Amino acid sequence: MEQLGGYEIINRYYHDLFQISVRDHQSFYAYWELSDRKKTLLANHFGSTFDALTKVIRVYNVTGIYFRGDNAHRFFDIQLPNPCDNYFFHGLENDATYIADYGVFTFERQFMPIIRSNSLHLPRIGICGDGAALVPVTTEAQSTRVFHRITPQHHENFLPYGLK
Amino acid sequence: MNKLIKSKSMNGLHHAQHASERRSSNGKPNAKGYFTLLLHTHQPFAPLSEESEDIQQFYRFMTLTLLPFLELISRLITDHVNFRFAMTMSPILSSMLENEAIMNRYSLQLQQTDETNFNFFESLDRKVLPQLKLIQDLGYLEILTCAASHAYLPLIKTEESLKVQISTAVKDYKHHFGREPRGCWLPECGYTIGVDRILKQYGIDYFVVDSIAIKEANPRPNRLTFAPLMTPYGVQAFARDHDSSNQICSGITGYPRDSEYRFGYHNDENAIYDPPTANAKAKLHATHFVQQRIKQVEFYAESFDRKPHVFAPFDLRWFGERWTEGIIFLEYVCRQIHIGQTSIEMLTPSEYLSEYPIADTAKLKESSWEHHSTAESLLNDKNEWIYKHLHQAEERMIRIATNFTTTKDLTSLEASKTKRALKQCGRTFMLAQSSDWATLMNTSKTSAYAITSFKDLLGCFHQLAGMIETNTIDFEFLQALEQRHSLFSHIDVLDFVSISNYTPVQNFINKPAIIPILETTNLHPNIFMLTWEYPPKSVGGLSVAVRDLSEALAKQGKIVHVLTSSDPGLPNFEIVNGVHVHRLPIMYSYYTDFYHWQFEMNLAMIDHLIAWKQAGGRIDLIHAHDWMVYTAAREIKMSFNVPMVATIHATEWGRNQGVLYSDLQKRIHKLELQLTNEADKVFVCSDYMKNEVQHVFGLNPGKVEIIHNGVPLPVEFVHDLTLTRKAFTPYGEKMIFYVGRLVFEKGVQSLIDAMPAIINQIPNAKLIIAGTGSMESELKSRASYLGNHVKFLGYIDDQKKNELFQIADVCVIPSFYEPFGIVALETMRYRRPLVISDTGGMKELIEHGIEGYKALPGNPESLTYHIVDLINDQQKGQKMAERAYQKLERHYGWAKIATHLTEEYRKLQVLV
Repeated sequence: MEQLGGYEIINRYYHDLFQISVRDHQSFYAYWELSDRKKTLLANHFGSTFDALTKVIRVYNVTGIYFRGDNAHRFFDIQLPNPCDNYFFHGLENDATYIADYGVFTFERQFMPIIRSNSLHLPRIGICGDGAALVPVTTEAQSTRVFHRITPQHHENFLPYGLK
Repeated sequence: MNKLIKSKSMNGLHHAQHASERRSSNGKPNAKGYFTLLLHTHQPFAPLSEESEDIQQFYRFMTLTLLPFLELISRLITDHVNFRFAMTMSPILSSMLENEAIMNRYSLQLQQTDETNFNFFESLDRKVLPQLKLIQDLGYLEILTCAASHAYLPLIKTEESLKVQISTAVKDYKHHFGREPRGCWLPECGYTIGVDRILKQYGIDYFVVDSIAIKEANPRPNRLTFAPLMTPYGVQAFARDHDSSNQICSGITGYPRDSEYRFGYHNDENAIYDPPTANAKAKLHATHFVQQRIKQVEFYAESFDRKPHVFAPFDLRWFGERWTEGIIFLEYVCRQIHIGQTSIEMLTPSEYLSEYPIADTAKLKESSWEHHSTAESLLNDKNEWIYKHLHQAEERMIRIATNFTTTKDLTSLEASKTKRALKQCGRTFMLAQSSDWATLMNTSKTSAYAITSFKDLLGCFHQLAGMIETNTIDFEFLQALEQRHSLFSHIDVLDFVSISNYTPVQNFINKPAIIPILETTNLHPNIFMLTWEYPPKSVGGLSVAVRDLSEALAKQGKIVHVLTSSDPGLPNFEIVNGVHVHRLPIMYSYYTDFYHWQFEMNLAMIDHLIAWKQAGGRIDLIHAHDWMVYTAAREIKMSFNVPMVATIHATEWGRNQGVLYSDLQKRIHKLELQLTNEADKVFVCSDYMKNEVQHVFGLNPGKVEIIHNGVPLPVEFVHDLTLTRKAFTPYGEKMIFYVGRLVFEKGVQSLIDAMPAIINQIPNAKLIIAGTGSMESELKSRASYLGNHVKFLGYIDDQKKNELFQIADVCVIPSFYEPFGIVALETMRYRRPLVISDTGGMKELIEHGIEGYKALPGNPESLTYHIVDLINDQQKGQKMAERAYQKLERHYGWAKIATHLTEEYRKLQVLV
């Protein structure tokens, strides 16, 4: 019989992962993993080893926009130390939506994204100012009892809960 | 003896007055505000089958907190006090309270140590839950449910997993308390938008948040934290009152720190603990506590439109375990509110909601009641590592549950066994989600224990999940696990089933969208064309060539897929003229060179094809078009052992006349070299190209095959051309027509240079140039002195092109380099006299002087001579054009070409 205890966790899942989670109004946590296939392909593309490439995380502020890849309000890059598979990002603007890309710098120092994360919204800090729009209860949720799945509404302009 | 107490306590309550009656007779109709005291209970999970430190901790909780609390309630009821409590009951705790074995062991221990509690416990028949149900039914207590395994909800990844936390808790609650829960306690008060959506789906009316969630809500709350807010999903949220919680929980000023108390802060080490003094202090503190509530309520009552509501949630452990006199404090608070004053009245949350069913709607701030009101203590450098594993486990659980629903016969014995294992899998997984592990990892004392427990839970989960996936369930293991993690008996595995009906092939919205495609394509071999562009996106000639070829193959009943890059506004998947077109979104971030962009495209193609295969699709042949798709073509060939062929439309070597200068040119050349060498077969369009690739890439002649490009036949002629003639040749000029990109290798400059000599012999000759390109302005200035004899049209659409071809007197293609010259074939379709350059693959298309003329490339005199000849002798020109058309029909119809290609595929054992 298999044991009930004494387990260890393998730290790799051998496929692409990139998840970011809210920590507080000015910081979030990111973890990622790149599949061996992608690592090899990247190494081949640059004629180099994967470890020798400059790994970068680019964080985009995408508040209120449908992000395509080149229309963020602002973005910044963090060069990652080798090896590194998670990071806490601090000192970010509050009340803003973020998306991050994990990628590498090319020899021309252009950023090449490999995996895109989910999006998240850092909460606003401070008391809400005057003039904030009133919020209605969504139509689907107006009856006392709901017997089906309520679809996420537009004010969840990012999805804290992804679907699998 | 036992029986006597039992009848006294239980039956006493059975005949007790209902709270609502007591309120109407003994209530405070003139109260200025309301007060709710919520006591949160939660117990970290301890394996139920073992005597461990956790179990001892649980016993302590029972003895010091829970039993005294129940006794207190009985006492208050018997004394006719009008009081209310709210309380949470987590499913983990209720499963422990329900477990007879544990309760019996506890009773034995109690008998030896604590007679009072033992007698009370026996009077309840060792059953705590029915007693709580009874008190709730009497209306003095309202019990809230809690996320099933006390998971910190904002850090859960998937909606499915969040849903199971709530649905399991609701079912468990119904089982214990015989009704639906109205309130739900969010572990650590952790709230993020979306949690309320799921709560609403399970009929929850309210939950509790930290005061900051309401204070900083959007829009600003009108009644501060003294009334609940409604979320956009129609669930109300009560704010935890900051002042009341500080009075007890503050590490500096909290009542329990007082030196008179047993565990208080003693300055003097020799101080003697004196219970009567301590109890008197508790009474004093209770008075102070109530006074403060009255002050709060009276202050806001003046300006509010409704009675202010103070909502004070506490961990139940404060009243007993952490603060021995706490239970006495609680009793005095209730009694003082009952008689000492008329300003506040105790209420349960439900009573409040029935008085004020309406609340202002606002978006709450994401928060928790932990340090700084954030997720900090659950997500820091000591415990961050668990979330990757939890999220992966969530997804695996969803996957195996979803797979289970595809089982053909759900009533079979086999299926019921799998279901049993799945349930246990879900239980074990949910225990790993508990926020306790993350919290315990923060302290070095408990960290090692939490890490081991977490690893064991996930280890067991993955072990069992693996067994389910491979259908090799070890029942001995399953049974052992069921005994160890025996809780959540009402878990429903179907709640884990994927909501979106997810398919790994991300170009399709969900499974129902892809299944019909898989069903039809699985019957025959699938050919995958890889090309970086496909109509309507079209930059070079590649796009159209691949489309025509694919559509010709599809017309002959072959299953053809095209993988290409997506463009805004185009569908991600569609079937166009029988061809399955998959347009893949390519990831990009601001500007990258085309060379790197094509690599991103290859990654997308590889991901897509692997997912296609995972979803059950077939891949029988990869047909790559040019170097841009080499990486993907090779990767799929090697991964799935399928034949790969490549069409080389043009080479970097040829485009640069054999001189590879820049790094980029060399890299592209290398990719072409690799592509042609690794392909099982290389297709080119002409003899000329065959020689070129054999020579440049060192290929075996047998490996290279000529597959002509073709043109769709016949063209649709426009019958009424009067308007077109009027627009372009109003005075009956002789029209010389060029259409194509205006770039150096197309040689338009030599055509312009030929114009003076042509005009010399045919004074009304007019050159019309259609198309755009990098040389446009240079060519315009070059032709400026020719006046009306040269006209630039810029970009023209297909309809206009059609008409212009028909009215042209002679069409000219003066290119310097043409691997094939599809434009020559297009022109031949219109049966117009034709002059082309004697270059590249184009020169193989016609025979000089029979089907048209071939001029020397870059030689204006040669062009002049042939153009003038064709305009002067129109009959001869027409005859040549007719012969050219016949040749076109014989060799360059797409149907012919598709048949030829199919034969080549078959040589690679692809049974298309």
